Amino acid sequence: MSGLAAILAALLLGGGVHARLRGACPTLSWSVGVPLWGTLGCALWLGSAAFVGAAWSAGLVIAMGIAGGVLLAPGVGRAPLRRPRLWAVAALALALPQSLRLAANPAFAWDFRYIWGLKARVFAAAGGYDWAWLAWPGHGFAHPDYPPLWPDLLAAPVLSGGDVRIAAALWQGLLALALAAACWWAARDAAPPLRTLAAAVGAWSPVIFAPHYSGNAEPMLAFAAVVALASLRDLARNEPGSVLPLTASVAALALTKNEGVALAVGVVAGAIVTARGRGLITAAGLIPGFVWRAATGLHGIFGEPLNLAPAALAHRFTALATSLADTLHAPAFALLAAVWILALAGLMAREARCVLIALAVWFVATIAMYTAGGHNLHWWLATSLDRVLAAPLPGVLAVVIGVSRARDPVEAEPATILPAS
Amino acid sequence: MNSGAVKGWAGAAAAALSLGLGLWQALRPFPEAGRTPKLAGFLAPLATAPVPRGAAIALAKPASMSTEAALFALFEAAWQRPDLHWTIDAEDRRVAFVVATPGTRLPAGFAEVWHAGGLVLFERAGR
Repeated sequence: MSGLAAILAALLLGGGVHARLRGACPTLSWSVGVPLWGTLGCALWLGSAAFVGAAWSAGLVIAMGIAGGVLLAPGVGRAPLRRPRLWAVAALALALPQSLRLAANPAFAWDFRYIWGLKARVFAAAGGYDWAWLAWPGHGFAHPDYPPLWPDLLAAPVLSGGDVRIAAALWQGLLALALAAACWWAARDAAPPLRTLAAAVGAWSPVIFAPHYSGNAEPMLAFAAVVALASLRDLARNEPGSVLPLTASVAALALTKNEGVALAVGVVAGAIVTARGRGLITAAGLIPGFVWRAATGLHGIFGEPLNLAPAALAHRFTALATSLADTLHAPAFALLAAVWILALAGLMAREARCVLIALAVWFVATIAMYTAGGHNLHWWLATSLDRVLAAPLPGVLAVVIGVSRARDPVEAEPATILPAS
Repeated sequence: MNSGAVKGWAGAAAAALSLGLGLWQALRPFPEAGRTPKLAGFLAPLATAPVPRGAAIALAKPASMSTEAALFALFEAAWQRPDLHWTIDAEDRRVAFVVATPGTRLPAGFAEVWHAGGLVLFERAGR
């Protein structure tokens, strides 16, 4: 069985789960549901096996595909086939070259080789989470505390005899398509040409697909962020079935990266402010990430130390402002900041208020991390800020495009807002 | 122009700018040499070194190598043999093997057991 077969097994699981849950989330399209449930399901499948002591193997990956097939089988042939729409075909045509380009180039970035891909190979070789390897002091460079979803996804093809560099390339090619589909779905209230633009923005996301970051976890984070932010907006609109994809995407965010944990917490906060009890349900999505944190803590694996002394924080915060200004002199960083400013201007709609809450929590957490962290600020910002800023961007832009045509209650229906005279 | 139109244009401009930046970054040529670490070939023989899975092994830094370069060598060594526990501290009591370049001074009590390419493997005596 090749690495590609393992990815197909994950997608089969995603298809099966989507088929079973379609009634509970009717607005979620197949093209978004399959990769969402497939990636999260694969990580939970392998993660659960590791925690119950079942060794990872090619057989376990095959069983995952079979489970997906069993779930999917009763629904095969029942879904009505729709004629592809012109603008959807155009979106696919724009996304496909990027997907093929990524899939054809084995991953090679430093962080991929010495963090994500390395841990995937360690897990695959050990048949699960190798706590002794992770806790070994010399392996701190591989950030053993980082959440495991991306290494899990990479380990599945390795278990099936694949090369981890090719596995990362195939997953990223798939995620480019998933991002395009998710942005198309998130912007579903916009005019078709704008939806096509949203899909192209997702597939050709800046920074996260840049060659020097090839194989890193950000595309997965970006995909989960699109689903999370769009589902959060749907919750604010009271659309049926938004809680389930919102909860799943919160889980995917928190299991992918530490910045994802910050965004996941922000999304849950936005959901609670927006929808109280229903919003509170989405906090369940934080549980898998919490289990990982608890497990790493029990094995003595912690993140990098933070300096929380008030005087040090104040000094560091001042230094951060200076370093940020220096970093933003680089053209790519400045352009990224400009995109963010324009996007936030476009996001000032009532139904997007919950998205702004989520982004505010994520932004404050990001600033806090840079302030309390111990790395040299210039180096740290130069090597990470663009990735941190770029990951939620496709989701923000898709929501902006989606709300640009949607009704703003203040402008569209003043009579329902203002008291009758 | 009303505020809704301004928001719409701001969103479209942000999307267009993001798309342009993404296309530019993805399609500009990337040097082929940047795809493989310089030390990958040198450390590749480690794949066949006779070290049992899970053993603690040190990468001894040659005197001529900077500490930063030694750390990157350690990363690459871990990539070559992800089944071992790596360190650059050859004095660590848990270390059972040391991999070094010929002529590197080692702590007492290690004996050469294997060599390939420019690498020599030492094992702690009396294990």
